[in-house]
Amino acid sequence: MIRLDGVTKSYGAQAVLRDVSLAVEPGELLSLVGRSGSGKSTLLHIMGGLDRRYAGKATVLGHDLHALDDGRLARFRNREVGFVFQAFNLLDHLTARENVKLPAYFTDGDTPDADARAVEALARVGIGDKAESRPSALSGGQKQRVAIARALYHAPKLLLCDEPTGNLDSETGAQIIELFRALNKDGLTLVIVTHEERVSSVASRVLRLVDGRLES
Amino acid sequence: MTTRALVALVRQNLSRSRRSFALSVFGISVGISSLTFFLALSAGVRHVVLGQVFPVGQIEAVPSKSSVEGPIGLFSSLSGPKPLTEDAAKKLAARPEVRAAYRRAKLAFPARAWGGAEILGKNFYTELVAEGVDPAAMAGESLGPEPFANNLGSHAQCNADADCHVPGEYCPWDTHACEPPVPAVISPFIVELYNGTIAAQTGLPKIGKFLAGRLRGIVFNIELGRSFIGAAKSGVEPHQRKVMLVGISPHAAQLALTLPLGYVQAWNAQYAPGAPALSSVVLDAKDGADVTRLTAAIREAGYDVADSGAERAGLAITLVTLLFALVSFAMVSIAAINIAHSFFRTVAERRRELGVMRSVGASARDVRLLVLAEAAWIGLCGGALGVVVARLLALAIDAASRRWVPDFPFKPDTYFAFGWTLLAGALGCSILACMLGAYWPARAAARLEPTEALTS
Repeated sequence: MIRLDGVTKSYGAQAVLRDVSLAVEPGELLSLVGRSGSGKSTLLHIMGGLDRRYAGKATVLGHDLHALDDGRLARFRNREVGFVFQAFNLLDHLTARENVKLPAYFTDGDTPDADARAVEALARVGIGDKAESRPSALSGGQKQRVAIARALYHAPKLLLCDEPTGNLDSETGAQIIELFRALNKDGLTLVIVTHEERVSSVASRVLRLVDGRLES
Repeated sequence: MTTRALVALVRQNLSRSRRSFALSVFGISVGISSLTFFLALSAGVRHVVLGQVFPVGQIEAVPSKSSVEGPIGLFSSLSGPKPLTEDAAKKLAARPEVRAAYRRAKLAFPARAWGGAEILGKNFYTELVAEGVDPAAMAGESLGPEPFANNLGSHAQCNADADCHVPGEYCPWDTHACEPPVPAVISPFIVELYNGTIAAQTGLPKIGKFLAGRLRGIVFNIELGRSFIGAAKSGVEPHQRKVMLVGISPHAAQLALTLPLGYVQAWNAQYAPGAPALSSVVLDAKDGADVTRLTAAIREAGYDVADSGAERAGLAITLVTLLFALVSFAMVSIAAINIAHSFFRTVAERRRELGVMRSVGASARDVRLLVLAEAAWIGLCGGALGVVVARLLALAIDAASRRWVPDFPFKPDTYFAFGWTLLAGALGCSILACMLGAYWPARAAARLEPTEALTS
């Protein structure tokens, strides 16, 4: 599913990732933990094709990410992986339904079918009744569910989550973790970057990043 | 990204920042309305000046006056200008650029005219300035009641008008042979001059469409060989003839009574035996693009091109148009710079949002397209508004002119010409200016790495 070989990343003279190599198998729920600034988010961005300025080789879902041009990489992000961010990253001027179908704008277009699929994705994460609400009218947990529904819109094989419970209270966070566990049970591969123990407790494997190096 | 998706995204993005959108549209519309207004004004004035006052595409070849200075020029001018003969006129008419050629001869001796009491209320007396024009020049024009042709009539012997039995014919006392009045036409230029100056100053009625219709068939008198200021040098006794006005034609001589060429040539032979057979030949170019080549050919043949004023008028209009167009372009450019500034700010504000779009599958091209499409939509709305404002302003000016501006020669119904090309060009210019303004912001947005945008 994911194979990283000697991935190194620096910002100027400061190394963020040092010779990171790892493999993730299909159906895994991998938890990446580490202190703030240890390179967890950077590693996740490299896996998702958001960051291409690194040394080494990253092969995800059979694609050598360095070898993909911008268009193919965009299609890879659109079709094959989903992202969930700590800050939700919803567009405030769009409704929940419109946020969820955002990936459709860059593939099939704004079709009636896209609306139906967006509502279905929202129902799947338990907020089907909030389709016409704007983010400002939603709670933190609901916003994150909208973000998860958007990530699942094209039924990706891999879900990459960056501190998904970081902005949520413990009860809501627990619900989101439960949702991830259910998605994983359905066969979805997840890589979750977190510094929370409760997230790691449901993971099938936990990897720790310390100063840009991977420790198991 | 499909067009439908692009339209939906543009609509969503612009609808949330209506104030900024409205300001951008207003900015570009000011420049476009100004550009459209001045170009339409220029086209309208050009249409009147070069279509009615100085018709382009018609070149008048006249005998050359030497332009060589010094002893050679003096020597060549002593022999006089090269005469325009019938043969030379035929050669010029045979050129491939020429659609038709009409010979002309000026009345070369003193003459006078009077008449018009039945339509103007009193007789009008004037020196007669007349020119003979090939009747073929008026072919296809609606003239009447008599045709514009060399018609000598029945030539029946007579002692008085009553002896002439053909309707319309009269008995000239010098020939004692019945003949119809000489047909004549005048140019719209003369009508405009009369309306704008003589009628206004003397209180005589203006010639509008109604009076122009009544002018047809009016008969007045001319006296050949004598005028108010002199007599013909030939010593031939002056004779009177009747002339009938058969219409107003754009092919008539601008500032002379136009008569069929045959009459003028015959009278010149009688009253001014040394006068040239032709004074000029008007060449109707097949195409506007042929004018330059034809002008060169005329000069090469040793003749001049009569200065109709079209060239200078056209140049003056072009220069004024250029000046106003430059000012308008400056306004459009300022609007484009404002748009660039606005889009740079927008892109900076929407950095994270663009990062989100990249994370869900937008390519750099999609992002660039989105920014440019927003700019294009602003350009389209601004251009449409600008065109409408320019059109309304033009309508208001035309209405004000009809109501408050006194008549003057060639006063048009409208000063503006809003062709489809102009409207489409204005819209295109507006869209292009906005897209150019948004180009660098769009490029910067497209170059934004998704991870940088998301972590901003």
